[in-house]
Amino acid sequence: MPASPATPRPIRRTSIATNVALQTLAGLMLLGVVNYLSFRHFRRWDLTRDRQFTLSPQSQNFLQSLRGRTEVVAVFPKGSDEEKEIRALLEEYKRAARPRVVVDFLDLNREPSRRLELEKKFALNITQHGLIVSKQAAPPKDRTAANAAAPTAPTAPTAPTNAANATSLPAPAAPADAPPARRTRFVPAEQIFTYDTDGPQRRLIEFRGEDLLTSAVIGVNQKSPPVVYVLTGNIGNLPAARAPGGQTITAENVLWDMAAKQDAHVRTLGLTGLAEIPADAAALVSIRPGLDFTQREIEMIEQWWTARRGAGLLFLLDPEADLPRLGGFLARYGVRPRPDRVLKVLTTAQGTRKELEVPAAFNPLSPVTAPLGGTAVTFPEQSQTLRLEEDSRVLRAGALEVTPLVLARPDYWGETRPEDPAPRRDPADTGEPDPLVLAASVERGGQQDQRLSAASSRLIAVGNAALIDPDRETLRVNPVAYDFVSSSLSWLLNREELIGIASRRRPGYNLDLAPGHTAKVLGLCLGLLPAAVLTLLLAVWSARRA
Amino acid sequence: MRVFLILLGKELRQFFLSPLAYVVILLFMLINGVSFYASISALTRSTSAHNIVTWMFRTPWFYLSYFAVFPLITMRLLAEERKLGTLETMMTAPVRASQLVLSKYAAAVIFYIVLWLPSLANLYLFQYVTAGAADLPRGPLIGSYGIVLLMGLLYLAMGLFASSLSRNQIVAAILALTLILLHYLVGFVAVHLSSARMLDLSEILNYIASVEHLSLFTSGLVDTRPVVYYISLAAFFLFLTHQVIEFRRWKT
Repeated sequence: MPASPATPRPIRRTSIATNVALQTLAGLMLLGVVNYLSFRHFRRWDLTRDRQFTLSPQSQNFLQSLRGRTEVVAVFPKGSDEEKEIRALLEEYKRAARPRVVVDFLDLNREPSRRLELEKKFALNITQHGLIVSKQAAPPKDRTAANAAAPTAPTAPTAPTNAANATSLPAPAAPADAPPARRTRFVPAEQIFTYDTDGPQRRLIEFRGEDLLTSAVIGVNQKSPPVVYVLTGNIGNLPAARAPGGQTITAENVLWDMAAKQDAHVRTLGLTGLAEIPADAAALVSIRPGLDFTQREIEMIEQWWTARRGAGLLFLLDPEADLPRLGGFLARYGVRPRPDRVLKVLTTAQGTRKELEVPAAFNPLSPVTAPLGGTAVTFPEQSQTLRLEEDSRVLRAGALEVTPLVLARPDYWGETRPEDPAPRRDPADTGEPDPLVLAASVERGGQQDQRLSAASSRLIAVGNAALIDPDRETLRVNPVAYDFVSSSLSWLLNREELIGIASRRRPGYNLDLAPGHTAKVLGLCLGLLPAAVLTLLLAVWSARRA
Repeated sequence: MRVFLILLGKELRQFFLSPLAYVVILLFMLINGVSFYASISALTRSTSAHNIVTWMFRTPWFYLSYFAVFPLITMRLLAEERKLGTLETMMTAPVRASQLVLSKYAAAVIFYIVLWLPSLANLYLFQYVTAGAADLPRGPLIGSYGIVLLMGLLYLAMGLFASSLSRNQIVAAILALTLILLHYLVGFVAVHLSSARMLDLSEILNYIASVEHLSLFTSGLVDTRPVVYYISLAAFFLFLTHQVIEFRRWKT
């Protein structure tokens, strides 16, 4: 008798459905975990040619050495191009300084209540777009002592410039039971972004987010900002460009702006009748001195520079000015300005003429100019050369290190008789084989090893006074020259961390096509290639029909 | 693996021996060509902050073609099998649901890559014709095609999932388009309308916002977060598709 067939086991649909649901839930959890880990631990590769989204090593090093918690609030309209640029920059900041830099965003139009909240927190009126950088000072051990030593509000720079400066915002006076004082800086958007408005659409041409933000972060993390004094009195006539508002802008204004961006305070100083250089002076700047300093003034400057550690001196020299005392002072420290004028003779159809604008290159071995290496700069108007004593007994005894910063192109020479209308090179003229040094630095008491380096006294002399003169038409300063003087100022203030954080120039793209090229490209992209696909389509269609 | 390759070959044949595939390629190519021409015109008219590659991925023409193509590729993949009844037959064969899903997905991805090749050819043809008049920056080029591929991986998986839910191709296509647009618009709206009050939320919204990913990658900034996001989400949708097929196998 055949065995009866086994009864088939019923499919347990409920348990299968439960199993599928559980698997789906597990998959969902796995998705969440993977994305959480990816959100927390990520990497970015900046594939742009000029590394537009990468922080400079200077900023990275500084951010890694940062202590405490610095808050950055980006005040920009949500989804705007500015906000995207700033967001990408702050992403890099957070990565480099996490968790020491905390980033937040505010849209003034969409978040009025939050704006009030932040205004109260930072004790400032937020009325324009920009970056707020703030740090809560560490709570003092002794409240009474803390109140006595509460940091005074840094005064907002009152530069005679129409350009908005990075503003130091006053902190309110701290009552006895108030939380520790907060240091806050505001960087306005118009300083961060420079637009070209000539075309049909405004186009971003320069982005200074990194250098301004790093300066502001340095500013809120330091107890008192350095003070830069601009020497007046013997100053020559500074060429001025007239802004649309009627104000004039000179190289001095540019320097004010530059120093403010480095979170330094700028003041003017007349040496006449002064007993000594102010004790809070971190650097003295003399732009285009037209008259020579008196012997007493030179002695005062020299005494200050040799006695104060970390003192900085910057001279932008006018080749037309006769300055024997200043020249003597510089020569004692290894830099002798020559009475010449750098030029090249150009032969044109109209005859020969003197070309006075000098193309020059930066010294890649100097810490001031190394980050600018590879970029070319043109020294405008007139330049003079500087003769350097780089290795003499006197320099060694004084622990002085003299370094060329900018060298003129070898086909230029220094004409010693500028009144001679015939452009010819005399034996007395300077030029090859001597290098034509247009700017040089002197460091006194510096150390080769940066780790051992205490604040050294520093000096920079530039044989051109028009380097940061604003253009009369565009009101702009040559960006490379600006970066050079800005780096020089950073070095003079012993702020190496800011050297080399140049502005990011955004290239403009356009196409200049030869006649017929557009039609040819159009023919290929919208004619030939689609025609090839159409042929394939017809072939497949007819094959299927067959 | 052998079964997978056999199924993949079958799927590819179905793609490339179908006139519909060439119609899709042709239309996509024409719209991309117009988008390319719009980029050239913009750069010829005035100086722009964006290079030719970045321009190509920011014109309205790009979006027009981009979102429409996924439903066209995926709508028939599983819906047609169900309508013709071949899915049930296949389920009785020694074929795993995972092999079926992956083979269909791989074929769709290959077709999608082929779809984009003419646009790359446009750029190099332009370079050839104009003797290098336009700079082709490597970073934005890699970033742009990279993000288009990554987003494609996700949207194809979404389309396949939609196709597994219905036996009607039109319904599958509408469902796929809805899912894709929802995903894109949720990110877009989140980024543009959200409040920054909750910073972490704002960061999370940026994490999922395709509009941000497109903007960054086409500028030449490659980030691992969108890579993981799209691949993991694509894997999740494939898993869901697998579950749908498995569920149907046991349901019947």
